Amino acid sequence: MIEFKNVTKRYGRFGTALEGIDLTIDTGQFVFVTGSSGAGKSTLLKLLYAAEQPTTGDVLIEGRSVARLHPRSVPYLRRNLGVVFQDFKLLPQRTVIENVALPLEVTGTPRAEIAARVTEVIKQVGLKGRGDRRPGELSGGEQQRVAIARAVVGKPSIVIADEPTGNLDAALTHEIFELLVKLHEQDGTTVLVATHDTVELDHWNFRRIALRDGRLEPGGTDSLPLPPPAGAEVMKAAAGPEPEPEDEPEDEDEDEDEPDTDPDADPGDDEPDEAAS
Amino acid sequence: MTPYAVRRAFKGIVEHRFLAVATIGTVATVLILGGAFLLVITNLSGLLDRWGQDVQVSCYLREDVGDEALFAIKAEIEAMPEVISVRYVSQDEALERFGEAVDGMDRILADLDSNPLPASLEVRLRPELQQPARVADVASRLSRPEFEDMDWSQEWVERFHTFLGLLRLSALVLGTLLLAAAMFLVNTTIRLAIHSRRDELEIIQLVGGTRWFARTPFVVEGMALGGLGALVALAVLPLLYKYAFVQLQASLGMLLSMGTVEFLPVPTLLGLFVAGLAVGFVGAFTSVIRSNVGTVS
Ligand SMILES: Nc1ncnc2c1ncn2[C@@H]1O[C@H](COP(=O)(O)OP(=O)(O)O)[C@@H](O)[C@H]1O
Ligand SMILES: [Mg+2]
Repeated sequence: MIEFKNVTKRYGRFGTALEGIDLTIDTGQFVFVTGSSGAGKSTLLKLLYAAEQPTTGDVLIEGRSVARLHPRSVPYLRRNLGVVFQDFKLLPQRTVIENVALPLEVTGTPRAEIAARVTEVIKQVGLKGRGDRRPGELSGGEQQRVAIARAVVGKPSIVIADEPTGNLDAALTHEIFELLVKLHEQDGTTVLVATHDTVELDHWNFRRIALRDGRLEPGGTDSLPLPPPAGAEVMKAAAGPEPEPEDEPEDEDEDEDEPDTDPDADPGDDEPDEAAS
Repeated sequence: MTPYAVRRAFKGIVEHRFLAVATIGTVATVLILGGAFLLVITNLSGLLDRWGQDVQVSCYLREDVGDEALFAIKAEIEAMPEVISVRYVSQDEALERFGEAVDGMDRILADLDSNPLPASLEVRLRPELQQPARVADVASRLSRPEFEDMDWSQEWVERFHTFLGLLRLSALVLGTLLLAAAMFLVNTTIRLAIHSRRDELEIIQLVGGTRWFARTPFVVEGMALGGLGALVALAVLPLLYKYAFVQLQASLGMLLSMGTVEFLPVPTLLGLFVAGLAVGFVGAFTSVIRSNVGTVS
């Protein structure tokens, strides 16, 4: 379980990136974090993998504070998290296999075990036969698959993706989302995906956390569940509508399904690649 | 030192091979200079030991000492417990020896009207009399009115000692400076390597690499640079010995009455190798600490 308890994050003295965030995400949930550029999506995710610390409040994973983690403990937290970025963050000089193996190298996993696990994951993300290529020899969609493989190779309990499809066209975007959902269903991994791709948001019936100017806003499914649009896959049974303010996060897993028609104050955003951050 | 760190370190060397070669070359040069210095010092020390063992007092005779008096003195001195042997060196013999010792000197001496060199008694003392004070003491008891002058090799040995001491000190100072310079270069090389691998370090942190997982490859790389430099030095030093020192000895040896020039003993060679590793280690370690590698942002 992930908990944000009255979290505020300020960069420097003025800019408030997050304000009064209270949030609970149950283990095994798939959650979208939506909101236009600058809404605070990346900041919210960074607090989770301890790249930033909250100014006030606390962030807990399985009851343990991430915010107050000693810097030396951060690596051990991150071994249980897989993070995927818009710009992939792959090592250009290394092969797909070497890139994917890195999280296992840092834990000192035996080489034979690394080889077996990496082969398995590369197959899972649909990159079989491409293991010896370098990122430059792959398409953008394939590169993001490598990054996803790297994120899940260590079997983390939480996968965090920060606008993973921001650099990809619509078709590839959908493939990446399908892959993330597949991994989520296979392993029961908790997945948080920041996106403002409205097509994808409409397509999937997952809980949404909507941010606007650093605050939770009623645009999320947490507060305004509506029936899914036609053609959308219903991943989980819909619960009854239960509008609630953003600081009342107790029962999100029941009502996480409906994307609403007015999701995240970014209606004109049909171009997935104009993501900022 | 995980296999990953070793693999990464050698890959790093290949990635910036020109700088790596320059660094290895510098470490090698420093160690070659140091080794050459040690070669000189070791051999001069060896020379000192050999001279020291062969303590000899030369007693130069007045010209008016007759044969009878001479034999009496010789017998008296031979009877002393500190003395191994006494040998009479005539004026002619002294002249002959002097002519042999220096090339071309014999022809110059042949032109002289009279022999300027005195006859002498060469008194060899027991080797345990190596301390200068004891030699002086024995020499004072050897002293006779028939002797015009006396000198003993120990005086030379002593002066040589002082010279060698100075040489050792300057080798130490110079060696330290050179090692510091090599260390600084390793430090800079590793700092550049760290800089060029920023993205990689960021990713290592994101996937849960600890500080030392990030740092160790750089430390191993520094040690590899130092170690390789040392190996180059260890390969070059025997050549230097063979082609420079032995040649030098061949042309000067007789004049200096040196024994054979010796190569560096194994412990010294090992010491040079360890010095190379240490230079690499300290250079890289300080760089990694200063650049704060692997510290979570
Ligand atoms: N490192 C930073 N320093 C200062 N301000 C920042 C920093 N990161 C983000 N911000 C500010 O915080 C706000 C939220 O940013 P971010 O979390 O990146 O939003 P999003 O990911 O939704 O685009 C923005 O106003 C942004 O300018
Ligand atoms: Mg962002």
